[in-house]
Amino acid sequence: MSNRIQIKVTGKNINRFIMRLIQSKIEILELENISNHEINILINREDYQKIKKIKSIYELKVLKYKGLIAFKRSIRVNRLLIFVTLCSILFLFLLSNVIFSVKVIHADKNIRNLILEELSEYGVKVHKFKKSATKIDEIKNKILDKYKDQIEWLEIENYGTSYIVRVEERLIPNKEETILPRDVVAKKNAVILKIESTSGVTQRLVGNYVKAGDIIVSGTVKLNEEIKKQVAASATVYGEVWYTVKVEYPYIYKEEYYTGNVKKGLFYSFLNKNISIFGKSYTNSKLVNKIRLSSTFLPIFLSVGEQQEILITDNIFTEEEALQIATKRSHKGISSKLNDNEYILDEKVLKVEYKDSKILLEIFYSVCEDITDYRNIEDNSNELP
Amino acid sequence: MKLMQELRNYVLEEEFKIIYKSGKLYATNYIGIPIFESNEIHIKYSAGKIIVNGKNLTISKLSKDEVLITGGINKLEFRLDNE
Repeated sequence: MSNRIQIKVTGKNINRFIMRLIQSKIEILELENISNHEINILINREDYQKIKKIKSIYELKVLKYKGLIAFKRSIRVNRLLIFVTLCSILFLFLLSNVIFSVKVIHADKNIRNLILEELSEYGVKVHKFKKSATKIDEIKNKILDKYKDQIEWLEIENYGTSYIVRVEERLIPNKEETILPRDVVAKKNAVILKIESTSGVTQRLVGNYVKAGDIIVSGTVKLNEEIKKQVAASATVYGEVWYTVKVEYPYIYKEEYYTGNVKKGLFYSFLNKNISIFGKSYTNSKLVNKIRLSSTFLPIFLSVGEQQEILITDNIFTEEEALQIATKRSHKGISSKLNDNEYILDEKVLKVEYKDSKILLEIFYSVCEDITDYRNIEDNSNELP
Repeated sequence: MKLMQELRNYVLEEEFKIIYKSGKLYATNYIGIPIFESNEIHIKYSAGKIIVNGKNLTISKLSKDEVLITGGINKLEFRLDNE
């Protein structure tokens, strides 16, 4: 690529200047006659110095560089921009190749920590460079080999600057536990309502009162006061258990709950009100901000995020209503702790106290509850003197 | 000998040639341009010179052995040295 320069020559009797070029044997690659006083000529770069020497009264002005020189000149002029661009590309490349998060998806914390430690040993950790797919496969196989008894399957996936590790624990079926001889005992003080026994000797009957720890079904099989055999007693015992619950409930009750309606977009907040810039806003809402811009002078915030609708209910109850609701809530609370076979037998309000802003209750509950508990016979014998 | 001379000219292209087309005059293997004016240009070659007459004549391209003259060419005059 030859280097050429296009120059503008101005001066009186321009033909004289052209004559000088001819006499100096300077090549004219292109000549454009603008007027009697002005011409544009394209010359080789090396001839430019010669022209400068012979120009005398004529004025020269470089219009354009062509060829490699133009390229070099363009680089020189834009060197700062090129440098910044290259640095930016390099920085972007570096950033996109750095690990910013490593997540192990598994319920067991120990497994998660184990995998994270192993990955860390192989250099897969935050603020380190990402690994190639081959290297990741290699690491995966090494971890699987090392923990073949603990890990069934492992997958390391790369999402941008994050690694997500999916792991499946190897579950080796436990050897059948040998159940030691044991007694079925009462978990709580109760009156027995039902006994479903599959092994052992039943010591108590339905309607008997038992204290916590009393043997209900014994694992010791005796004949004429002589121990013949010791077995693992098995039974499910239901008993009547009693609770006294203290409840308080306000006369004025305000409740807020999320309706599940969510609106995404741009919002501005003013005096605890979140108003959508595009479209309608919810009357009562909570704003979950992603980006929040605030002004130092005005109490206005501009946010990009989610607006979650809230329903607010304000209730003012009479004493009777408050009593009814408190009783219901208490009943619901007890019921939620019971399983399918357990239920409330009876309930009675023992004490009601009316205060200025709330009601205080004491409620008695009689509940049919599973009171089964097990105790090894050895442990039992140890306890005995 | 004439054949050899023609072959040499063909290979080396040393012979003076002019081409006039579309109002432009293209000359190769010239020796010099002793006169250059807007109405008259003299092109010297080995056997003589060519005088180009016209208006607003100019040299659009110029190299060691080639020249392109443009402008309003009215007349071409050939003059041999021995004339």
